[in-house]
Parts: sequence; structure tokens; C-alpha cells
Amino acid sequence: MANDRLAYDDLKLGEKAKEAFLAGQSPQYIKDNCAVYLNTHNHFAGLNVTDLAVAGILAGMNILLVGNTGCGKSQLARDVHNYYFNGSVREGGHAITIEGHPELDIYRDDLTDVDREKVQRVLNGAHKALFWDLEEFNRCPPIAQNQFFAIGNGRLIHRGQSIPIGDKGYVSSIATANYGNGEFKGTFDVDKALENRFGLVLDLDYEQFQPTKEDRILIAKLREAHPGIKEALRRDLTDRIIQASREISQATLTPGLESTAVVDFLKFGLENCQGRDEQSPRPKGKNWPYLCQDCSRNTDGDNICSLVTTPVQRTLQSMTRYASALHYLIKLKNPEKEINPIELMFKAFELTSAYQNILNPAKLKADFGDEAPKMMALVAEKLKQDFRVNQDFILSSLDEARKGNHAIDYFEADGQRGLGYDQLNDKARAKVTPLEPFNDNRPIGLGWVKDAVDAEIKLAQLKKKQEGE
Amino acid sequence: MAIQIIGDRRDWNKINSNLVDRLNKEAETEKEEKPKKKKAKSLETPQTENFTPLIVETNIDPSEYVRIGINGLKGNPVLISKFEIPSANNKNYNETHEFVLSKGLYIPTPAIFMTYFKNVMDAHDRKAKLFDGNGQEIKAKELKDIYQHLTKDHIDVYSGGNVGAWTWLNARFVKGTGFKSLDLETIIGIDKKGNFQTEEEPLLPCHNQDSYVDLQFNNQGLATNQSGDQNYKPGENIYFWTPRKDCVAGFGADAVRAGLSCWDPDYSDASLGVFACAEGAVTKKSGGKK
Repeated sequence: MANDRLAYDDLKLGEKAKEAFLAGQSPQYIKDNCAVYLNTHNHFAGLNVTDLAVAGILAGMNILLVGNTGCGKSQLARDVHNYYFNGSVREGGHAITIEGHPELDIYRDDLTDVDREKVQRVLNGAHKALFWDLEEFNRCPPIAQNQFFAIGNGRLIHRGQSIPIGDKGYVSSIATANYGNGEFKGTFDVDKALENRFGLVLDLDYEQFQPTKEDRILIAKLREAHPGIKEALRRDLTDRIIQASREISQATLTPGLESTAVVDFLKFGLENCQGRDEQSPRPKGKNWPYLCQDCSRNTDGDNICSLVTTPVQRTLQSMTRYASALHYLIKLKNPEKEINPIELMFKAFELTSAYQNILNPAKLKADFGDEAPKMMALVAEKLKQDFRVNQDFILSSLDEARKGNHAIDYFEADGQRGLGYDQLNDKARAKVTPLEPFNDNRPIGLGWVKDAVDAEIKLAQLKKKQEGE
Repeated sequence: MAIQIIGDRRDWNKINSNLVDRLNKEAETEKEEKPKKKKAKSLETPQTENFTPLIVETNIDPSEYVRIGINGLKGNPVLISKFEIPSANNKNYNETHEFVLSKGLYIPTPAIFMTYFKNVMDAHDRKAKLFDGNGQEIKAKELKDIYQHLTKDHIDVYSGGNVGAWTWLNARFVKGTGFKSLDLETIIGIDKKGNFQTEEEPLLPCHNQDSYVDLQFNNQGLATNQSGDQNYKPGENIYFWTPRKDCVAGFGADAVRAGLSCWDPDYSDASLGVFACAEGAVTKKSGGKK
């Protein structure tokens, strides 16, 4: 590859096969040159469902693909294994495949060999694989699933040493699992803490993630009939993917005003519970959401604060990283595309948080038939609307704070909103209504904005001081 | 404004202290004299560097608006937003009016919008300059964005999937006494009960066929001449749908063409929003109103 920078065309999987087919190429050409997984269902800002997974790979994230048998999750993982990472490390590539089964021992089976001279098992180098294809990982019982924590954490503990997996600061994985309602007899439940290690979970059975009808028609025509997983051409995109991952990572260091505000809105706003003490709302406790059913503010059972709680820090970091990756991929696909940061952040929240144990489990089961992506989409939309209603206040104050100004004194006059109540003279004050948008006496708290303003001012002062020095 | 790293567009209205100055001044003035009733002023073409700033009655960021050199519905110089305003999508015609009026703004009439459109075309062709609400000339890069947004599939303001301008305009074609037995109804406000205040005037003669038209418009902003070229020529012609009873006006641009349209007022879409207008009075250098 002469050019070190990734092009969107490099990343196309089955879409490239579809294009070749429509251009009149033969099945043999497609077999020899293209990957297999085809899903061009448009989802967000010009990205299709395949792109959503690809963004996770570029971000160096752990991805969990769930869905019924035959939905394409293993094919997608296999395509990434071959078409991006040149196949298995044992064959000169940069990927590794581990298949879940009850007796799985990753160290013994995959990561170590016996050193006959030392009479002990030593790492065989496979831990440096850049991409980990973890097939059917919930076919391991929970005790064996614990081995996947190491992969999820990006570090192995071997002979008392903590050893990073991957290479050059990059590693990603795709795990696949059948999350049925009891029909998969050989599967086991997945620990919630382990699910949290998968920054992106895509349920390929969810209607918004299913291939288009055209895709489904063409899938049967692109290749000869074969029910198993198909092997795509082996190619090596590793250097370009690592470079993309670094750029994505770099952007998360300074995500910008709107992106930061959305993260804080979710982090602190969702903590808020005004039901227990009307005078002083407090963070949601361990009793969430059980207290919500008796809450006087939740009479219809659909108050937004009863539907969702705050994500843990790891989830918020995944969300920001994934938003950065989506931004990167949208621009890679169409450099002219304008990206609304608020829409982007809430979309990243929706896609990274559905399985992170933040949704009210009773509502999820009763109203959504355990379809987490469906409930998550609704919740994310409601939260976005609430943010939108208040965004002018939040962002105006944070923007001023970044300039070192403490500006939270809003007012309303004749239907117009102004900032600077404290600067009004007495006669003018008599004509306006002071506003206090930053309070926690609402389902999604906004009191955090005052703290964020103080923090931003301190940072602005520090920056000014450093520039002066 | 802080640089946005993840994402591109600023999609919110900065609440600033402009209103403070105005309210304080008004309060001071009231002490000395009774307030003078605002009087409609005509405005000279503002396309010069000797631009006179406006006092805008509504709390907007003037840098996000463009001065187009004509007066608006209230008889004062009108500013129009450079792009569709935030959060105005997914609303039908009436809901959009309610939303925009609640912000102290109003939906541009075809006359205002097509003047803006022509000003942008002229500025793009370097026949004139375009100035924002602060009197600052719009820079070339932004002008290009505006031009392309109005003429092709450029910038998806609401991330709704349809790229290019897509806006309601303030005109409903109702049964009346004008051209085609139609009147043009304009919404000028909303009363405390939530009822629209409207004005009607007979529809002026305009092009009576769906086709490409030259950029020649009557005083109501409706096209008058069929284009000699019935292919789309960005900046030279647009597609025009002739007025129909009970339809409302709108403007859209996409990969195929730009057009002044006639729509079902009940329609709504994630990508369909609205440009907005604010009005202000010209100030003297001393700061008082002219």
C-alpha cells in the first residue's frame, strides 16, 4: 500500500462485492477480491451498519455482536480478521480467533506453548495479535468467561506479570454471542462487568441494524451457495488502521465545547433523583430504579429519570472515543459532510450504552421485550430533547467560562432570553424575570453546570497564567 | 467560540448580554421622556463598507444573520439567518411558525428569502458583497458554504439525511381575488391565545407553470419568467412550482436542483426546517436609533 492514509474504499467489506457484482464482475472475481459481510442499511450521517462496526475497529474498541444464528455476526468478525488484519498470527497475519467452549483455557490453547527446556509454558507471541475474534464467547461457563476480562482490559496476567495485549498501542476485538430467550441451550449468561468491557454492542437482530432488502437479495447472488463462514481475501491494513486509531484517540483529548457538555449532561444529569427529597435532590442510590415505582413524580411510569441511570466512567469514555471514530469515518466517507456534534454524541451514547446496565430492567422487559437497542434509542432521543431545550443556557455559560467569565445570571424579557441579570439597573430588573436554569429540581439535573463553569474558569485562569509565563 | 473537535457545526444560539444594554438604555430613556413609537424606516442598500449597525430587537447573534437590504414585515431593516436555525426541524408549517415566533423571529416571506438568495448569488459572482448583522463582510469560505447550501446538496443542517437547504417560507395561498383567484396569506404574529395574526393580499401575477425560471421575482418573491434553459444551472435558474390553493411556499436545494416550491402545510421531516428573520432599527454612530 503506497499511501499510508486509510481511504473509505479500503474498508468496504461486502459493499465492495456488491459494487463489483453490479459492475458485472464474475463470482470468481468477487471471491478472489472482496470480503463477504454485506449490510448497507443507512443508520446515521451517511454511515451504514457495517460502518458502525468498522468505526469500533478504528477506535480500537472491544465490540460485541449479538444476534440470532445466521445474522452475519461471525462473518463480519471473520472478514475483519482476514480483510483488515491479514489473518491469523500463526500464518503471518495480525489476528487471532478464539472459540468459546466449556473447557476453554485461552492461556493453554492459544497464548502459550510449552518450553521443554524450562519445563513451563511461555507466551508464544499470539498475545500481540492486533485483532481478537472471540467466537460464541457465551458458550463458555461464567468461570471460563473470566478469561475474557483480560482481553477486555487489554492486559494479560501471566506468571504474575501484567502484559499488554496487541501491539503499537493498538488492539481491538469482536466477540460474538447468541443472546436468545432460552432457545440456545449451550449458552450461558454473561457477567454484566464483562459486558461493560465491550464498548460497543450491536444487536444485529434489531430492525435498525438488519441488512436492506436489496442486500439480502444480493447476498444470495454474489457467491456460490455455502452455508458456512466464508473466508475473505487476506489483506494487511494494520499500519493504516493503527494510524487512524491514533488520530481518533488524539481528538478525544480536546473533544470541544458541545461534546464535553453532552458527556457531563449524561454523567451528572442522570445521577439526579428528586423523588426522595423534594427540597434537595440527591444522586440516585443503589435503590434505583426500585423506588421509582412509588415516586410521586413518576405517575405514568415513563419519567425519563426512571428509565435510565448514569453510565459508569468507562462507558462514557467508550462513548467519547466512539463518537470520535464515527466523526473520523463520516469524514473519510464524505469529507464535505457536516457533523452536528450534539447529534453525534447522543448517537454514540445510544450505540455504546444499550448493554451497559443503565436501563431500567423492569421497563426493558415489560415494554420493550428485552430489546435493549430499541429502548436505548428512545431514551437517547428523550435525553437529547431535554439537552436541546437547555442547550443555549448550558453552552452559553460554558463558552463564557472558557473565556474566564462567570456568567450564569439569565433572565427573560418579553419572551427573549438574556444573560447578565446582575448588570441590569433596578428599573430594568423590574421588567424582567430572572431565570435559574442550572438547578436539580428537574428529572435530569442541571446543577452540575455551575460546577462545570467554576472548573472551566479555573482552567482558563491557569492557561492564561501559563501563557503569561 | 471554542473549537469543536468532535463534530463540526455550532448548533445553538448564544445567549449574550446584548439585551442588558438595550434594557438598561430603555429604562434610562423612560426616566427622561416617554418612549417614542417605533417608525418604519426605509433602508438604503447596505452593500458598502460604511455599514450602519442595527439594534436588533430580538436576542440573536447578529454574526449568524445576514443583512439583505430590504425592510421586513414590521417595516424595519430585516436580517435573515445564514442557514436554517437550530431545532426547527420535524415541524409542520404551523408548528414552525409557532416555534420561530416564540423566539421573537419570523419565517421569511418568499420576497425576503428570494432577495437573500439573489444577494448570495450576486456575492458569489462578485457583483456585490454580503454582510452579516454586525456589518462584517461574509468571508469567502462561508459565502461558498451558503451559496452551495442554497444551490446544491451541501450541508445537512439537521443531520436528518437530506443535504442542502430545505425551509418553509411564510406564504399560504388561499382563495381570494388575486391572480389565479388566490390571495397570499402571511403570518405576522401570534396572540396570547395562540392564534396566528395574518395579513392577506391578492396574489400578484407570476409564472403559471411548473418549470425552471430565471431569477426574476415579483414583489411577493414569486417567479415571473420561464428560464430559456430547462436544465438546472446553479445560480442562474431555479425550479418553480406555481402557487396552488391551500398550499404553502417553501424552498429546497438538493443534488438535482434548487427550487421555490408549493407544499402541503401538514408535512414535516427531520431535514425540513426554516430560516428565520429578525428586524432591527438603524443606529447612528452615537448609538441612538435613527
